[in-house]
Amino acid sequence: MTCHIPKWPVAAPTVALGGKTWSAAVETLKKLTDSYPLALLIGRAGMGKTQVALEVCRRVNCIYIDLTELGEKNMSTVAAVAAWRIIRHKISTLEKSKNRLVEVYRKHGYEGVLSIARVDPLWTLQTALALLENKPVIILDELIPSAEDPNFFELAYILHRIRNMNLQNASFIVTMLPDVYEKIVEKIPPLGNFFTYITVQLPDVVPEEELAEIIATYCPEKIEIARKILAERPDATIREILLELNNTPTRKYVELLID
Amino acid sequence: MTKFSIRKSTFDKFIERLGIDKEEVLKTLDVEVVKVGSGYRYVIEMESFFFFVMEKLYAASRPRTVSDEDFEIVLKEWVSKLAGFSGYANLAEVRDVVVQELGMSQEEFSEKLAALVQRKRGEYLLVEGGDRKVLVGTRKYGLIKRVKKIEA
Repeated sequence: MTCHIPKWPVAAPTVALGGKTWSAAVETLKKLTDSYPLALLIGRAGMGKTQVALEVCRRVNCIYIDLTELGEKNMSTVAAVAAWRIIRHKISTLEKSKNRLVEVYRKHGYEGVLSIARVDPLWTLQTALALLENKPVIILDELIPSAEDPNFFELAYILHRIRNMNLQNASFIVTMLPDVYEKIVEKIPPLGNFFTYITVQLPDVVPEEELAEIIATYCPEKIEIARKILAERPDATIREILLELNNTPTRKYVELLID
Repeated sequence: MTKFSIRKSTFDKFIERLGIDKEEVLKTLDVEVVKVGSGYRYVIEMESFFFFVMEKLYAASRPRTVSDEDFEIVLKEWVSKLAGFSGYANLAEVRDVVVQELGMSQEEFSEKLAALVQRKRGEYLLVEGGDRKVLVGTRKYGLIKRVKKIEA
């Protein structure tokens, strides 16, 4: 049997999702986005947040934004990128469109959309969303990469804005590390209270009973090796296990270079 | 033999602050309870009282040897009490209360935690993020979580 074990960074739109807990997370996120403007997906680095988000994208109308792509992260750039993605996706069908944002895009491209979003991100998003037939889910991956991010509170403000802007025709999924989540809950109680209704948490360690199913998704013949890895390092993440199965050096590599 | 009297409520507060069992004090010092007006006062022999208190304070100030078992029991308790919604607790906060309760140094805490995490791999998770960090082994961590399944 051929193995397709994903390589670094592991998560990708072409990679399948394994594990019943992870599949359940996808379903719960779909349900939450039906009812709330925002859903959170929290988990340790390497435990499958991005892959779950991408799986949601596979199943629903979605706009996936990896925030590490943006030089400047704020509500305006989020709105502008989402609007730009919608317009770019629909542009071939918009020849006769009188949508104001489409007109701006035709004349000034992304920069035009961004300049409008700087003035009114909500209007920008709403105007772009009006071009879609179905309500999309907008996924913000890596919005706040660390609790120590110097712009932590500005970035958390984006979540506050999403919660309050009452956007009827879209909802958001935001991926988050546990330390970022805990800091928001502690420092911004109104958001923290809201989070209790909209959070999906991935397992912190790979459950032994799900390991075989996860590994079988990529390479059934390596299930036993994966079991040995997990027995030796019960705190190993999915990414670490998959990389090890691919014989990709992980932690030791840095130490060897330093030696 | 000189005796002194003290209002019951004041003495109770004092004993509570010392962290001593009140019944033990009353019994050891053979304290008399006297009704004065609408309240009660304790009558205590002064010399025995001072020796008793000094001994307790000295015992509390002596560095204690904390067993691995005691360390884990107290750690577990505080990780669970201080855990947030995600189940993670701020490691520096956990350390502060554990060292206070067990009378150990911060260095000893770090050593014991590093050994515990190593001994019970997969049961305790340490995460690097967080504003305040604690050195455990060679790395600094901000959060801790106990992830072992609770046996029925």
